[in-house]
Amino acid sequence: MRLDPRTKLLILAVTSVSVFMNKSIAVECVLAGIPLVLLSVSGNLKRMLKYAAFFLALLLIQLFIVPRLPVTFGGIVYMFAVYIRKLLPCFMLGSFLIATTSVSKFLAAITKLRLSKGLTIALAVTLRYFPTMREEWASIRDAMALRGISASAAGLISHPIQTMEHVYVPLLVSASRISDEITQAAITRGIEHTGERSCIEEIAFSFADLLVVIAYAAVVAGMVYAGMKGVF
Amino acid sequence: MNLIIRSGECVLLCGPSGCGKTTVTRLANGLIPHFFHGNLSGQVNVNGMDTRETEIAALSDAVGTVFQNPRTQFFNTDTDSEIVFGLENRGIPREALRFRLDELTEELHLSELRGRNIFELSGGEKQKIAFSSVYASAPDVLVFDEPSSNLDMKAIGELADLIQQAKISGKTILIAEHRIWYLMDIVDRVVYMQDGRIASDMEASAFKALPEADIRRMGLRVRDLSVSESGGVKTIAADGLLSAQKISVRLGGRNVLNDISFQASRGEIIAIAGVNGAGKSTLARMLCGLQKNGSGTVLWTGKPMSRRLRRKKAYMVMQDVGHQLFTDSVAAECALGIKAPNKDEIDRTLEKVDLLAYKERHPLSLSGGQMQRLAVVVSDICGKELLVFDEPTSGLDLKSMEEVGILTRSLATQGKVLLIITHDIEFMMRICTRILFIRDGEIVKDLSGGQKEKIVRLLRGEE
Amino acid sequence: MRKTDSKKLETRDFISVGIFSLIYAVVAFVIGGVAQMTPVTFPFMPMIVALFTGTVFMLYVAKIPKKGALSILGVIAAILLFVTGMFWMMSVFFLVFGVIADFICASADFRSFKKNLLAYCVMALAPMGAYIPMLVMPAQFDAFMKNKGDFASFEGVIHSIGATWWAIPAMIIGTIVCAIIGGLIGKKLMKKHFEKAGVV
Repeated sequence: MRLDPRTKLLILAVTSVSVFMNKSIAVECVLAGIPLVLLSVSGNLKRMLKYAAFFLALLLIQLFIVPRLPVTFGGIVYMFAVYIRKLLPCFMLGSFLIATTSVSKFLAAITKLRLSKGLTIALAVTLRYFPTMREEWASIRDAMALRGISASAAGLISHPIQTMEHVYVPLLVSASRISDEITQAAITRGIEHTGERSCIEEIAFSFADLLVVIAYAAVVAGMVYAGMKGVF
Repeated sequence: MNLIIRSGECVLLCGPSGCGKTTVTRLANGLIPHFFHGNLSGQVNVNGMDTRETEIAALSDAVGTVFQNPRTQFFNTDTDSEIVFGLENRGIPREALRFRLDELTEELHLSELRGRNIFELSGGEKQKIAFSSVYASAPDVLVFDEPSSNLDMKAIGELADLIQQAKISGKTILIAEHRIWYLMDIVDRVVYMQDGRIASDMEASAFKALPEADIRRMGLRVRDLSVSESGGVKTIAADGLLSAQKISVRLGGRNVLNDISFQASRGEIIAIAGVNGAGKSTLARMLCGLQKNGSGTVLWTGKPMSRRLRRKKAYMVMQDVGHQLFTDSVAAECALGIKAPNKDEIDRTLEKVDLLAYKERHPLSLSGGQMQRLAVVVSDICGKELLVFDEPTSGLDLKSMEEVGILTRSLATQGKVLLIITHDIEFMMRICTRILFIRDGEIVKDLSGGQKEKIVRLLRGEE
Repeated sequence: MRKTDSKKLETRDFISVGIFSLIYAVVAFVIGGVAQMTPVTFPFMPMIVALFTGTVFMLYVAKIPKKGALSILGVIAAILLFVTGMFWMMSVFFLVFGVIADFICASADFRSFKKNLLAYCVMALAPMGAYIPMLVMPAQFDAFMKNKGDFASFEGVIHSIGATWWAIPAMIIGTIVCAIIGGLIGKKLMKKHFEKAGVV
């Protein structure tokens, strides 16, 4: 099942707004259930099981442990467990989106949303620089290790400013140079053409998108109904 | 300066670093004056367009450029989008994009590279994608700015084929380059520059006929690798100071290094050669104590060293040497991490590599060569005895390469063990005392003395 | 050698925006993620983040001193946070505060350090969006306990220690203080490194 990136963004938006407005645990289970199905259908079974187990554990904490705790402590545990649990459906949809969408497909979707060209360029570079930043960080960490400077959390806590300096200086100077070089390559390949850009990636809505959208419409309706009737 | 390049000509621009070759390429593709702004007098015409009066977008239709660094000249994360990037910018409809992509795949033999993640490609493959992307928009003029600097032998061979193909299809080609051996059978004309001027301009046949001594005097790299003069053959008493035993590394379900063992002695300058992905950097990282998930032992004077101890004993001079300089002045850099820095010793060491005058400068404002030397000074002050250089001569002209040679030799005389990851045949032949040739994670040849010549054939994959 | 006479964002600027926005967002994300992992440091997340992003922010405004750049930083951070499933109010905060910060910096043509610092203080408040649910959750807890037939009130507890009214202003003030410190560190590193290294 292939979903259009715009559909993925839409259901993510619907989910993130709904989970915190929703009061019913039954509806919340559906909100968590759909991403679990999407994850397993797209072949991310291991990740799906991890999320499912985590969700279940947090639910059980609320239902069976919190009521047995003194009110202040119980309140804090409740806040923590429920807050994270409510974010889980969004985490799942986010990781579903990232795992199943290529950068070029995502950019094609963003282009179709008709944002400004400059913003699209900036976003494209952001996504392209992500792996580069990882390479840069790995190399800087190696360099620090050979100088006996720790890049670990312990080093950060004992010398925060110094550690920050040692990471930022090479990272940012190098980013600046790379930014210049990408620009040169991009403008000699015609990025300054003023007309509308085309895109080799094709994205289009399909029957699967329709199904998913209907499912989420039903969830929202269910949530409103549950809110009025006070369903558990 | 005045230079006229006729349509369909293939011109090599060469000359020592700082002679102005890159500036000429930037004048041709319009980056000067549209990206770099300075004082430009005179006129540049490309395809009848005055570069100053013409928008860079229009110039980019006529001139395509392949740059030096494969890592920083792509815009997308997948190869297909990158190849058609220029066409997308011009708003070509999707069907035409697909058609052109298939056409190029055939013409440039790209089928293996289609639909791949660019970040997983080797430098050579990235450079091939960069070429394809430029070529896709069918510019009449192709400009290359030191395109082979980061490539291994095999990739340079493929690059040469691509340039040859472009020439046959009638493109006008301008190449600024230090490594000129791979271009000798392609270019029609050689323009030699010095201090921002054209010092000589000759037919390729005349250039090829110049005696070797003239080429040397001009500060150029060799025209033919097989005539690389061999040096560094002096015999060194084998003391087995460093000994690597049964080193293996498995990464991502693949054996990157497979049971590697070798010994190295004080004063040796050992080249580690092999194609990209053969395991050279992993071996270097292993010896420096940076690589996790490795097995095997590294001994120093017969005693096994833990990873921690190796990180203390060893130092790597990285290709991106800017990643390993952290402070705000050369002097501070030398003292970083030292409990009681000895000022005189720092001054003396800086003096040796001509950096004393730059003591107060910010390390990242130095030139590439100076940064490299500073990194060496740092290693010296930290008392490192095993030095690994990662591609120290990529993109260097003859003089700078020789300077790196002098530097490494003086380190070797001090009794350090030097390992040098390199693709630079000239450097291996003239400076290194021994070459370890690595293929598929194994040392398949250990060459020294007169045997070193074999490396050319090995790297070309002919043996 | 570079031309900075144009006040409009050019291709070069958009590419810098893309790269430095990512660095800003990743630093905020990594530091914030670590800070949110334990219940003790959980409330201090915006403050800790504000200490670290100051340098990136100061370099950002120095490198791309043009109207619109900070708004795009807000948009990109919002998108990255949104697609990784963070609470959506944080994205909204980044969008809104990015635009405000942009206006503040532009009002002095990006040249006044004080204005830039003020803009950073605004920007640094964006992660506060993550705590909006905390305002309604004590009430939800009480409703949950009532459902179970238990009338103990967590909201009452919080009220009795007077926590609700001062918690948010305290976090805002704390974040602003940390943002000022972070911004000053940024200024110092700009002088010490980035200006000398020729980055700006």
